[in-house]
This record gives sequence, structure tokens and C-alpha cells, in this order.
Amino acid sequence: MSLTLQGRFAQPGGFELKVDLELPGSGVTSIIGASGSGKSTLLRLIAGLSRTPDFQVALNSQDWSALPAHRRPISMTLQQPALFPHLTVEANLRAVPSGSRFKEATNRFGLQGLLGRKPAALSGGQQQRVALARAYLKPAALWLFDEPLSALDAMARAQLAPMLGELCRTLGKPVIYVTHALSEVVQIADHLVILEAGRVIGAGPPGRVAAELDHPLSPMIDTGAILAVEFEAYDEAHDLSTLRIGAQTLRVRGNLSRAPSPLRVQIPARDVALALERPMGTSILNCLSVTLTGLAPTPDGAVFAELDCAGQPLRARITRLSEENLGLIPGMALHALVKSVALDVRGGWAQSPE
Amino acid sequence: MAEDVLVSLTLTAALAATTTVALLILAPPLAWWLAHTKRRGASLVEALVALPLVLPPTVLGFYLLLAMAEDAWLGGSWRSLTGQPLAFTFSGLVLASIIYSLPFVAQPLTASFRNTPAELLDAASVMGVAPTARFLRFMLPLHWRALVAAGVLGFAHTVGEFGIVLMIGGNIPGETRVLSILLFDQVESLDYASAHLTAAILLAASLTALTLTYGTLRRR
Repeated sequence: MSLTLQGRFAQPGGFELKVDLELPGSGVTSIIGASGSGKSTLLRLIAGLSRTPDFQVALNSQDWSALPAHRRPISMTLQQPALFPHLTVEANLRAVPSGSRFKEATNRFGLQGLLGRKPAALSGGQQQRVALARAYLKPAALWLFDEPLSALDAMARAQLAPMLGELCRTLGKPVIYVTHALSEVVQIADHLVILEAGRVIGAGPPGRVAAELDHPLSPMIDTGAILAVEFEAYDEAHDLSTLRIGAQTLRVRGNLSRAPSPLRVQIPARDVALALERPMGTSILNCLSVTLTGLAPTPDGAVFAELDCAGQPLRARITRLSEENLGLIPGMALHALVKSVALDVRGGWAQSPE
Repeated sequence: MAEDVLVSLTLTAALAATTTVALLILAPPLAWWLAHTKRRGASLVEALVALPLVLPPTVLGFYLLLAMAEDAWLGGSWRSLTGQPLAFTFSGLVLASIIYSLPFVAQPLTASFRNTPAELLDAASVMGVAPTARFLRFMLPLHWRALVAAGVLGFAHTVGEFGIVLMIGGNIPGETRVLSILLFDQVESLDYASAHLTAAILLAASLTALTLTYGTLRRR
């Protein structure tokens, strides 16, 4: 079971996408990159919305390259909901030629009360739900999401994200999820592909990709580190959840007792500070004991300190002056002060406390 | 006199209606192709469609007259197909009107089709809708305003034809004598009273058609 993507695609204006990927044929693969990295182009090639003889797409050795988009067994949502403005919600849904399970779809996406309305009378979040339902109606072997949350405001995003996470988990079909925000998929991605300027610069399981990227990413996508943690307790008085990582703990805001386990959290490298001793009198709640495993310069003159935290990789972005002041040498024991922990999608629950 | 007007009025309405129906079948696919093709020959096709806008109707009428002659390719094949001549007949007028009014129908459609949001086309494709069905089931209803505008303009412009009708239709009552020709006759024979009636009908019909069109387009 796998999805093969291989070849090149040149756009007028000089941009060229060149990939040779073998993606898992199950679970959620997230393609991440800054705007202009070619991630949407790659998705369009998979969908058949862009086609070239130089690019091969095959799912489980079934070659789709010669199929036009409307013949490919895919379900897809676009960046915009793209509903037909002259049709009601119901007519938009009924327009799917091979559509089945209409009732199930309207229930699942909470559209029962909206069926008679035109898209212009819906909020952005409601429109995107109709778009999801429309994709859900089509029997498909592969799901494609093109930045499904990017057109929404924060409120709608927080409502739609859990629905999307739930959908990804229960579809039972491989999902490719394109986004520029790693935090959006940190909970749901089983596999990451990082794109930069039309090239794949990292691919694999989330923890490994984030840790092994020797090519420091542009600041827009500070992958930092992705850590597997377990929920331990919820402190209702302070609205804080305690998460266990090895023998240590992280505290994040919100009640995570109902969250799936193990949880994954993303810690951006710029939000990790280092100290030689455990600091006293600080507002930062999260301080982890770590071992320095290596130092790598970033292209913009800073330094990535590669750390080991209970066997899991963590990364801090510090200045060269700090590196000198602390006298950093690989093997040193350090304390990592974590300013933020991103924990997204399945809840919109979590932000770490200051 | 009033009977003349009635015969010409019926004939004009029949000609304009037939032409409009034919154009509303022929022009949308052509306009869609013009709006979305990237082929190099498209500019030439677009220029040919627009030609009646700039060409004196007599030029078009002259060439059509030659083509519709019994021994010419168009008139000859029409004769062997239907047993009827084409020049100086109602069928010939319909054919000429289709060519002459084509830009008035095709151009508003092309402009509207060009404004189709790209994501709607993509959405239809990933829904599994084939291109022909996408055009017929989604794009035509989506662009219904443009279709209304194009239809009314095509109709009104056919009603207003003069030069080309004179060239290939002549002046046969009940067959080719449309209102604009009748008006010309009435003025030539100094029958100003009848001319007033004919001119008023043409003026009122055109004004009504255009007002209705712009009203439709204005409403959101």
C-alpha cells in the first residue's frame, strides 16, 4: 500500500517542482511548506487538476497519470469552499454524481438546518463544512485537503479543526493534508513531507523529520521538535493539564483528559531557552532537564542547539553570544525553558501558560 | 397599410426568434472555448466572430449573396439538401442573421465565462463531474444572467438589421420584408404616417428589450 509521486512539473515563470516520493498508503500524510514551496502544486498534480506527462501518480501501483481529475478516485477540499453560488446547500451536495450516504454526511457535518440556504447566507466555517460533506459523499480511495483551515477566522478554525481531526482518524482512507502550519497537523499526521522551493527537504515520521532536518527551515515553518507525551492529570483550579515525558512533566492550559493518547506536542525552536542551572523565580512553568547533543548554525546567524530530552529530540534556537556565554559543549547537562507548547487540531484546547 | 406592418412585424419576430434560439445553442460552447482555450488560433476565431461589429453589413451581405447563389457552394448544397433556394428566402435571412448577430451573443457570454472562479471548475472536477456535464449542468445556470443579456441583445440586433437583409433578402412581403425594410419603403414612397407607426414599433421594442436586459443584469 503506497502512493507514488514521481517526476517534475515546470510552471511558466521558472518555478519547478521535482519530487520522488513513496508515501504510505494509509494514515495521514501532511505536506508542509511555506507559500510558494510547491505544496499546492503537488496536491493539484495528485488530484489531476494539473497534468503533465513528466509526472507520475500511482496508488497501490495503479497508475493514475493518464486519468483526468474527474475520473480519479479522490475526494478533495480546496482552499476555498468553492460551493456553487446559484445552488442551495442541498443542491450543492446532490450535485456529486456518484454521491451516496447523503443523510450520514449532513448529520456528520451538522448541516441539517442549512440545507435550504444558498452559500452566500452561510458563514465561512459553515461553507467549509458543506465542502467537507460534499467531498465525503464521493466514494474515494484517497483524500486530499488543501489548507482546509486557511480561509477561516480563528473562531471557525477552532470549531472545524476537531471535526477535521476526527474525520482524518475515522475515514479509513489515506489522507494527504497540505498546510503551512505544522501546529495544525501535529496531532494527526502520521507522516510528514517538508517542501521548500519545489524540493522535498524532509520526509518521514513526524518526530524524526523535525529532529533530523539538517536544513534549517525558513522562520515561517519553525518545525522545532515534536514530542510524544502522556496525559497525567488535570488541575481544575488552574485549568492546567500535566503531561508526562519520561520522568519529567510539561504543563499546558486546558483539560486534556479526554485527549487521545499518546499525545504529540510541538515545541518551536524559538520558544526554547537554555539555562545552566534550574532557574528560580520565573513565570515560565515548563523547565525540562536535557542533554546537549550538538550545535548547528542557522543561515541567519543564530544557532540551533540539538537536545536530548528523555530519549526524544528537542531543539532550541539561541544566539551565538548565548552559545559563547554558556560555554556550550555537546554532552553538557542543561535546563530547557519552554515558552510555548503547541497542541492543535483535535481540540483547539491547548496553549502553554506563560 | 396597417396590414403591411402586421405581416412585417410577424416576419421580423419570427426571424429574430429563430436566430436567437439558434445562437443560444451555437454561441455558448463557442464562447466557452474562446474564454478558456490557450490555443494560438483562438485570436483569429475571436476576430472572425467580432467581424460583423466593424464590417459594413453590405460587405458581409455581398459575400453571402455570392455564396448563396444556386451555383455557389452554400446555395448549391442547400438546394441539394432541401430542394429550396437560399438567396431571397427566409432560411437565407436566418443564416445571415446568425452570422451577423453572433458577436452580440458570443461576446457577453465570453466575458462572463472568463470570470468563472477557477475553484468552481476545480471543485466540479474533483466531485467527479465530466467537462461536458460541468458546462451544461453548472456553468450555464451559473451564467444565466449573461445568457439572458446575450439572448436579448441577439434578438434586438436581429430586429435592427437592415443592410444585410437588403443585400440577400430583397423585399418580398411575408418572406423577407422585415420592419426595417418596410420603413425604408414607406419613407421612399413618402407615406410618413405609416413610417411613424413602423419606426415607433421598432423604437419601443428595442428600448423595452434593452431596459429589461440592463434591469436583469443590475439585480444582484
